[in-house]
Amino acid sequence: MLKMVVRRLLMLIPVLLGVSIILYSIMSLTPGDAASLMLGNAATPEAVAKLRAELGLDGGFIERYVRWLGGVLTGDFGISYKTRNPVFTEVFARFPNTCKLAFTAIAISSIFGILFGVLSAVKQYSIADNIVVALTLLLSSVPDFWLGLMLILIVSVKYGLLPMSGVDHWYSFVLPGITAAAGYLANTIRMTRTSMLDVIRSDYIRTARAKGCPERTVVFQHALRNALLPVVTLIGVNMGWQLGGTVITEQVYAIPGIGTLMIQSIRQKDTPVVLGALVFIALLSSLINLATDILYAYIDPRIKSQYAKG
Amino acid sequence: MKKSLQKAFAVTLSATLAVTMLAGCGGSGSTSSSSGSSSGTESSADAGKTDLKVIYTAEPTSLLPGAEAQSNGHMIQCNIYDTLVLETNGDRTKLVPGIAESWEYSEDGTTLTFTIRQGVKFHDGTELTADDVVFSLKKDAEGAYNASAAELIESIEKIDDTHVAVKTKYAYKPFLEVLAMPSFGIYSQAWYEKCEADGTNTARSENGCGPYKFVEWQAGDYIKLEAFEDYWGGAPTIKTVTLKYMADATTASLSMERGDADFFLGLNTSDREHVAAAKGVTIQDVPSNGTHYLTFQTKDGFFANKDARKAVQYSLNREEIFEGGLDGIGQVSPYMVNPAHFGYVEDWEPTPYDVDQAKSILDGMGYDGSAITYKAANDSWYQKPAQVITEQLRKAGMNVDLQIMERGAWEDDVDAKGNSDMWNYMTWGQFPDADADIYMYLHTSMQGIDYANVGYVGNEETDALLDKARYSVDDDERLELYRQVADICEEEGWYLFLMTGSNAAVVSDSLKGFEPHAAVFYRFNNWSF
Repeated sequence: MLKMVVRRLLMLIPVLLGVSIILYSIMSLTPGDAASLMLGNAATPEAVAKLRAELGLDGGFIERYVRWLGGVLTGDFGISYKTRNPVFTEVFARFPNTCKLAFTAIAISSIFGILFGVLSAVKQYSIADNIVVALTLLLSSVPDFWLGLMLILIVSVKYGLLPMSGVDHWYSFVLPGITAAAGYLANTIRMTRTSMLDVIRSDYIRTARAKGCPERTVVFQHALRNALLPVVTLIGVNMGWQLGGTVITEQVYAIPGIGTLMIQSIRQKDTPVVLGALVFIALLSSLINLATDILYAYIDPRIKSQYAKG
Repeated sequence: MKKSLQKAFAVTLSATLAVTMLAGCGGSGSTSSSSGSSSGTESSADAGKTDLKVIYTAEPTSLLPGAEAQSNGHMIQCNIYDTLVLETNGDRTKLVPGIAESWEYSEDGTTLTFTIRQGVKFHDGTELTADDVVFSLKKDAEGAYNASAAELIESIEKIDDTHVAVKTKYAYKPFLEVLAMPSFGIYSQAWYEKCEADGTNTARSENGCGPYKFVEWQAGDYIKLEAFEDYWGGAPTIKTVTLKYMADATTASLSMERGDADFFLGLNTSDREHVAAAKGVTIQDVPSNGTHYLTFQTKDGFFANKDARKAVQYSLNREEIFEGGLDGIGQVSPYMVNPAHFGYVEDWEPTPYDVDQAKSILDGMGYDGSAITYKAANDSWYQKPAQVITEQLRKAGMNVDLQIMERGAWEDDVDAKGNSDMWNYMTWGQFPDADADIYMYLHTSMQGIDYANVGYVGNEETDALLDKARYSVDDDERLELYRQVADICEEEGWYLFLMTGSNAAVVSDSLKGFEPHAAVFYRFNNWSF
């Protein structure tokens, strides 16, 4: 088990290096210049030249990448072109908001997803099942920005029940959480339902029922635990996505998170921030994947025994 | 009361998620049309309020004068830093004393001697001295945004404890306007040197002398300002200002409708109708200080031929471009100088719209229908006019190949290098004078320099006129000189000026003292509730 974890952690090094090289190439080789973008219409020849020098944009691509990598190895992710703040500060100022949004969304989509998924699998072809299936179709097809604006219009503007933007209170995250959860909720319901339907038909469930186990024990202890494996993978992957910033939800609800930071920075060609934020997200996603794998072992002892062998 | 209600509702909502979402999806169509009438009812209760909430859709980059190119940043700077001279609330061309009590031109017009106001305090309580003025003006001039203005300055010197002399390379009439820009703000020398010594980010701290103190900047979220009670011009009525960044303009409009904020810059055209119907807020159209133009690559290619440019002139219907490109918000403005700037004249007529004339010119030059490249940036305010223009030129028989490019790529390729037969963009007007843009766009000494005269226009005659206008200090003479330049420019068909947009502001009805400003240098101490 420990060997597996260490091996996976070591594999992170080439992954992150690869991510940073690809990103650095994309940011450097695509057209657009940070200095002229920052100055916009005010870009006069003198101004652009001056700003380019100030930002350290002179010098070749490889030279700049090596300089950047050298900094990273000593814990210095560079300075944002735009704000002149350390990239570290920029990313970590936004990260708590993205975290809160991600956890709200994942909580909503996991709890309700598993609940509805189990319900619709256990009562297959009932009215409840049909409603749930229709709901998943609706949730997965509604675009985030539309759902976000509609929730704002109805809940905030019309009835004034919840704040429409900001991060000041925990309940500020309710509407954004629902918006960000919608698509994931649909996936989770579907995955749980399919997986449960598979398991429920297996022999050991019939055995459990035959020996007189109460239905609740059959469903939640025998069936669900076995059906949960693919769902946990899905939740893990969703978590990675959410922590990478939900750009649209953040934009609609004016949440200063990683997603808005990246969009702003990409538009401004603020390479240090884009790199810092994405390398951080890549690291996080890898760690979450690892955590998901470890979690498997606890849900399914069969996998644990595999790790022990390998 | 409202908060506890919100909390209670949040709990209920979390629990009944699915139901709410279904309701949210199903009922939306009918409610969006009626929500305009249900909001903005608190305006009458706002009288005497001392906290101002502002929303904008583009986040500033820096507090330091000279380091910021964005108009929202300039708006904040003009509240934190005073300049030597100040613009009047609502009238850009009328300058009033600021940190300088008075000023005097030397005989030859090249030296401006400022008498520094005594007893002015910085935000940390220390007193402003002539040394601070000299120091900050010199630093300001080093900033990238001030690079072109800095070219003018010969020297900045302290004469005695109350006098500072700024010498320019030549007598430059609009120089006082340059010094009134927020990017020439005055700050404390001691503060700046301390920042340099201990590594404090000067983009995120300040020690200015303006009516508001900087309190806090939550990146991507908000900036807070607080009234400076010892401000030399008197303590401001509005005590706290929160400037909130909202990336989504529609959310921002809804926020205004709901009465969450008092002032909003960045209204979407598609939200106009909705906001106009809302109670308690008014849309104030503020003419933009940038003029849209269409220009050509005259060095080689199709438009090296003057007849080709004339054909375009006859094919353009500015009204239509204005309606289709800017949704009719702003004004048609065919003159070279922006209406908000010195040098503008009203009674100037462009070449009339006459498609038949255009067609006969094209026939006369034996145009074979070969493709004309037109690269446009993908921002809607450049892309939409470009589409209308393309249609109009096609009607006249020109085979225009319109290519929409991502803004950054476009700037590299076209704004910096002029790699297109034709393109459209907007003047900037760093300070409100004709010279600010026109010299750079038209003077032959600027030919081929990145971002300057990349279309290789201009000739000896216009050079002479532009130089004369730049070095003249006589207003009437300058007006006339620019008019002559405009006539030649039109005759040669170098630039076709089209229209100006609007920096629409949504203003709460309870806010008093708001006067439109083309460059959004809004000083909040002029406002109250």
